[in-house]
Amino acid sequence: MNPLLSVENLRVAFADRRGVRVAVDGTSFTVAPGEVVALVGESGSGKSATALAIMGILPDNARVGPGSAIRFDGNDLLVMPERELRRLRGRRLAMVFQEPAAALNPVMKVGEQVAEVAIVHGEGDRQVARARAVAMLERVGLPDAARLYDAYPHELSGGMRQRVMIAAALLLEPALVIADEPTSSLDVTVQAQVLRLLLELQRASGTAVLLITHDLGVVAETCERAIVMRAGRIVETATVDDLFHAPAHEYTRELLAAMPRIRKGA
Amino acid sequence: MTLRPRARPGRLSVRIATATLAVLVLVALLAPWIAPYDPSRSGSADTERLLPPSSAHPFGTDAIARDVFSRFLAGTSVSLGTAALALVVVVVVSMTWGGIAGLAGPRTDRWMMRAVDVLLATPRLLVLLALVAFLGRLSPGALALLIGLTSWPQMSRIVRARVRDIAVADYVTAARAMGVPFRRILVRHVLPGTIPAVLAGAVLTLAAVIPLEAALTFFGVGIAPPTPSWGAILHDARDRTLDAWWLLVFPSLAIAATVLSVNVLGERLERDLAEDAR
Amino acid sequence: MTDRPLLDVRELVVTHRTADLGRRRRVTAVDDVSFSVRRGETLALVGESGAGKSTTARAILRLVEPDAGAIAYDGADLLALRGEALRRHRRRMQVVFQDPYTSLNPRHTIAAIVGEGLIVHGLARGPDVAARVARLLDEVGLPADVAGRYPRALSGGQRQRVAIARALAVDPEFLVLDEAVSALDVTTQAQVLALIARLRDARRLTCLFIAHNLAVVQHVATTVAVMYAGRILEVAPVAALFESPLHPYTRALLDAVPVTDPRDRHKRAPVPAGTASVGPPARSGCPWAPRCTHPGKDASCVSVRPSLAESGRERSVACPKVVPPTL
Repeated sequence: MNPLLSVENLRVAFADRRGVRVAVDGTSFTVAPGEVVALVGESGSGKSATALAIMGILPDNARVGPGSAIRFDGNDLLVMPERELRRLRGRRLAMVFQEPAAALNPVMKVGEQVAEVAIVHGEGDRQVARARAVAMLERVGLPDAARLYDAYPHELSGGMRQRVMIAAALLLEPALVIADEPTSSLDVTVQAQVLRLLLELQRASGTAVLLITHDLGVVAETCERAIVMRAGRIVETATVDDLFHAPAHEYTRELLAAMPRIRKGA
Repeated sequence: MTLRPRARPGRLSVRIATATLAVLVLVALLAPWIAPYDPSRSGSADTERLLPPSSAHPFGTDAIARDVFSRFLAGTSVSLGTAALALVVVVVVSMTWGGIAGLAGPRTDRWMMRAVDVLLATPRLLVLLALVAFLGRLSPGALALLIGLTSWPQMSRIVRARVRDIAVADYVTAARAMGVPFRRILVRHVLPGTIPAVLAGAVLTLAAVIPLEAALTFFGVGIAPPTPSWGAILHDARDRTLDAWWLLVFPSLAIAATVLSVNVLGERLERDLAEDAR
Repeated sequence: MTDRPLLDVRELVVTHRTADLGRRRRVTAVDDVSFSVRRGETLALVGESGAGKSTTARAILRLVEPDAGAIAYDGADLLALRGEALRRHRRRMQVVFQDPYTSLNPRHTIAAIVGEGLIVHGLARGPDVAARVARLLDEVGLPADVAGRYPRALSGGQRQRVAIARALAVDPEFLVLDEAVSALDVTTQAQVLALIARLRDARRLTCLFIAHNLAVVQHVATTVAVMYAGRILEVAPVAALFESPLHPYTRALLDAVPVTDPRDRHKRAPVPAGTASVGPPARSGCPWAPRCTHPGKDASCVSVRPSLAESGRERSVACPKVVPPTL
């Protein structure tokens, strides 16, 4: 089966007054349709830069290296004009960010922010979009969805805001969702629920998920395959079971050893 | 449409600005030695008055046969010096006032900034004019002081806003937790963080103060004659703009060039300092 | 030698005003909290965001003034200290903050940062300062040449070591670690935790360790207090808490720690269905009630505010369904 997303020899560097810093140093990987893949790494590994490159939202001082390609739906996203990228975003390709408070517009009702996705992609008028948004808010487990439509982000808790983001990202059932540390800013008792929600929706609509995280626990909970990054390079790719039980690379072993574990029993 | 951050001045603009200011500052410092004539040497012969620019008098002569170029050079020292002194007064007073207001408790903050509000509500030009009328014609130093003392309230607001932001930073809290005394926190931890903002404010202030001195002197209420300054030369141009264009053009160009260069450099400096602090 | 605790907090209440896009409310961050810490002990204060742990720490450090309650340090009324006496007290009680990227002044060198405490408290001057700074850097495992550098040249883990060195410079007896490893990468976390444990033992420090991850706490704490919505719901010695958690919230916290093996994926407790699990804490009664799945939950949970009741050796729980109140 053809891969949904194929990242080829990706190089991303950031230029500032003091010089050039290479964030991603020639990585290649694929994501199959409907697959849940983790991109694992600590800070400085280049995982977030990878996500931004795929979405086409790198900052202005970013340079994408020669010889890199990101193929999605057969097209190279790196050379696609902004106009076409915009048509893809939201409809075929969506992103869930780490900080829902920062990603949501604080002066716009949450329901409207979800509905906006439909409107912008021509999926119906205001009425239809609103109905779809309310239905989606319900699907993501928000109570009293019709009333919550009119709420503002600051009236919701962190977990609820993240659910709104997921609702907006999955409204049009995109083929690929990139989730950048979607639960890192959430409380641990809410994390499990939000991850579970994401998996449920993903299974129902056949959406592939590229889950970016530093937390191996999250990987163990949710993913089928994992790609381990360190200092801009991929050090290991394996199924999650192999990764945890037969790690090939020393860095992977280090990460596994450092995971905080609860010792049950004295 | 991608949203681009505001572009910072490119290398060429910065070079031109630096060169311009460097030249002007050098002129200001070396004026007594490079002026071809004594700026106050006047003549009564008609043949020497109001001459257009020539090789003998690159900027022409004025109504009492003084070499405008020499007056211009001497005037550069005065105009720039006055502006610089006024700026120093503004920075020192506003950083102290804004710094204390921003860092001390809410009550101190409130009355200190209310005082600033009152000062801001009074029209600066009128106050200056009134003071000048009261004090008579001024020396450059006195004018600088007056301009400084009427211009600091605006800047103090900027300083206070920055101080309040910085005051909640973890490293300031850490200093409080360490028992570092108020004054040391203010001077060593907080105020240095306000420098990019102060610089930006200083640029605006300088850009306002330079023409202000020129304007006041032009109207006859600034620096007393015969002290040369850009405004003084402009003053002489008042009734003669079309006949003696050289009296108008050179000081105006100088003022414009200075203000522009100051703006460019200020922007660039502010950017660099803000990046450094990350 | 008296048995009196080094730190004793009684009925602490801390509120603050929020400015929430036009609406101003008074939020009770710390709601009638009491606990004590004995010399040499490490009390872990665990809870999720908004639980009030950091606010509690700041109140103890006199960085924030409480609305009510009493804090006694080494037998003396901490809240009564002012001015110079308060300044001198600060030597005895130091703190390491969570974010290594904002807790060090970016414009100061490491030497200036670590040495400031020494200077300000008159503990050293002149060339002596540099020598002591060097010793401290060595103690936290940093190379000596770090002293002349700026924070931006250091990694998160290194910066946190600097923060620890700064705190230890004045030889405190009590150290507050406010989520001191939460912002670090997992591999660095482990190293810095080990460092903290080592230093704590070498210097015989008494610690208040604040965290939101129970797993991290197990290695370093002697006693654990669980907080939620500004209240303490359970206190127990560390082994007991992990072996037999009593309060439903403690159980939820333990259950929520992610598995460390993909094969255990399906063994986790099922997440309760329904939307009640997303709500904010209740204002009356037990704050955990809206999200509580304890089979004994009833109407009294929402109307009656439970208080901490003793439930065994050095344990207390604020849940009448788990520990019946003694008559």
